[in-house]
Amino acid sequence: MKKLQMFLRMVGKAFKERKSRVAIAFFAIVVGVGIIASLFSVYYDISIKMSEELRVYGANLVLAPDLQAANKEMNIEQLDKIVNKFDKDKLVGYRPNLYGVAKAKAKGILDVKKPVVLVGTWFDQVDQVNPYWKVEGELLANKSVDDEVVIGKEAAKKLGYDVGDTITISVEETGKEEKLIISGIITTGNEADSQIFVNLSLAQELLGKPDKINIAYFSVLGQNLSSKVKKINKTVNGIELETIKKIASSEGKVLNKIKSLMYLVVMIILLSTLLCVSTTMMTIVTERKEEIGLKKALGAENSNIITEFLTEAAILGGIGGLVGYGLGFLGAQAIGQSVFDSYISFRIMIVPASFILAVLVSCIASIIPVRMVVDIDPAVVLKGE
Amino acid sequence: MGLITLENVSKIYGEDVKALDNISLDIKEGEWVSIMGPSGSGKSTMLNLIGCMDTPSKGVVKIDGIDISELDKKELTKVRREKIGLVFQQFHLVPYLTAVENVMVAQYYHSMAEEEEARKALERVGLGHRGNHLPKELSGGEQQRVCIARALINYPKLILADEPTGNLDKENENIVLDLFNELHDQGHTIMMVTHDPKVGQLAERQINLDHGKLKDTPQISKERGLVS
Ligand SMILES: Nc1ncnc2c1ncn2[C@@H]1O[C@H](COP(=O)(O)OP(=O)(O)OP(=O)(O)O)[C@@H](O)[C@H]1O
Ligand SMILES: [Mg+2]
Repeated sequence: MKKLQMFLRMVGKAFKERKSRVAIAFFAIVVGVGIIASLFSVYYDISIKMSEELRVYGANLVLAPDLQAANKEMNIEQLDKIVNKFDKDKLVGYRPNLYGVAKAKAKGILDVKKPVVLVGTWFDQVDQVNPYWKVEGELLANKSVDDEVVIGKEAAKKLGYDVGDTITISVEETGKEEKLIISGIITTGNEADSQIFVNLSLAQELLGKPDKINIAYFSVLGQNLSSKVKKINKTVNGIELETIKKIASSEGKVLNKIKSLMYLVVMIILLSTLLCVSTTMMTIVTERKEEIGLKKALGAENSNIITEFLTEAAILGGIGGLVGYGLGFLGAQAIGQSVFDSYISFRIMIVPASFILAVLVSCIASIIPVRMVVDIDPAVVLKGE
Repeated sequence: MGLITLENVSKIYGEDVKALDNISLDIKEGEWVSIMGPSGSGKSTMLNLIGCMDTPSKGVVKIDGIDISELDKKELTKVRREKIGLVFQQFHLVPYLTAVENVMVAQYYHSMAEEEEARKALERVGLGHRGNHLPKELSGGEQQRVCIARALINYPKLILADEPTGNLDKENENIVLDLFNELHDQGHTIMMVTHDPKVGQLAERQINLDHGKLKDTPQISKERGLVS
């Protein structure tokens, strides 16, 4: 116990004696570990944040009847079954579509009817699944609105309608006809621009296809979606879930690139920290050569002195690691705020990881300097300067 | 057989620097021996060998019955730690440790660091009140007394001193020599290198070195206590 006390006393005072040198090594460790810790904090969050960011570009899964299915229709219950297979917090949204051909009366006194694609859908899911839709006017307020319609920009142009106009839609097969108020005009950049959208229930009624849908789009978070999709597909019949490849794979590619870039940066930082701590330790050992010789003359063995130096290195590393982590976490928040507009979550694992990393770096950096200790001869102290 | 025995000991540096040349010597327990001779005659080399900080090129060095010629560094360190107290011309204290801590360092590597005992050792050299001072706050003579306290702390059989008064003025030299006198009276074996014939005469026996060889010396031991 008294031995330990004396040991700590010596180590502590040795630190104080070489404040500026120790400060340099400490600073190197703090900066090194700080950057690494913030990189990892950001990286852990980045995959989630990336997915969220990429979700802006729309759905990443599509559900449709498989090739064997006779008619390209499925029941709404089949959709519900699939929906239940996803975690609630991973499923951003999903939107079913029922398609049919209808005729719309063009604006004007003449009774000109033009064929249009009529789509039944859920408007409350548009924000989640098709966030890029530009809406002039408004989408339908809820699933039960049955006297309003949203039409694509091209269709509006072709038929000559504006928001607030009334449009008459008829379906030949069922002979049904409905007068609907145009609540919004959408611009999507795809085929939806020439389609006409009503609530799913109304479309089912007009087309005479109760409970039927043709397709459903999903927006789902998380990695390894394709394996999840495969699993789900094994449990269903007649329908098939598919990933929309473009987004899923570009997401993975970007993440992989970031990952390898991060590892590269981490390696470089570790190396430069190692070098800085190592040269500082080397200088310290050289400066303390006489003291080391004296201690040996007084009966210290190499192992005694090496333990002293490694303990100094470990303490330096440990404290540097914790301080570095603290700064790194703040840095991660700054990155999170500026790049992702959100906080980076605290991960307890990174604290001990930073600590251990810093201690290791510090001790490894001390290996070469400490080996110099072995060569120092106790006889040096007997020789005058 | 004495505490220290040298049998035909030579120390050769490089090809032809014969720092010690075929020396045979026997020193009994409790003896005070001074080693004298011109600069470069091999005094420090001899002390280094006896202090287990080096091994001879030829011959046998025995300390308390142990032949150290064949020992490796670790074993030499152990013998030094157990049996020898060292005092240097350049004091050599750890600059950032206080006087009492400097004494404790020797205790620490030997066995236990007991602050009480270290303070007592400082009292013995008349520095009981300066225990908490750093070396740079002490005069040369005081620093050397700390070194003596440190050399004594582990009750070594043998005290080796290489010109312990070489860097001191007359007054401090007297204080330090008085201490050695006391140690000798208490039965310590002392080997002291010195240039000063007056200091050398304090010893019971003088060894004269010249070019690494023993010079015949009148083995008369003078009255001790001339200095004080
Ligand atoms: N490590 C060494 N390598 C080569 N030569 C050495 C070494 N150490 C001592 N010598 C030589 O051995 C001889 C004796 O040296 P030593 O230090 O024993 O002399 P000394 O009697 O103590 O001298 P001084 O009174 O100046 O201290 C000298 O010629 C010295 O140059
Ligand atoms: Mg000398």
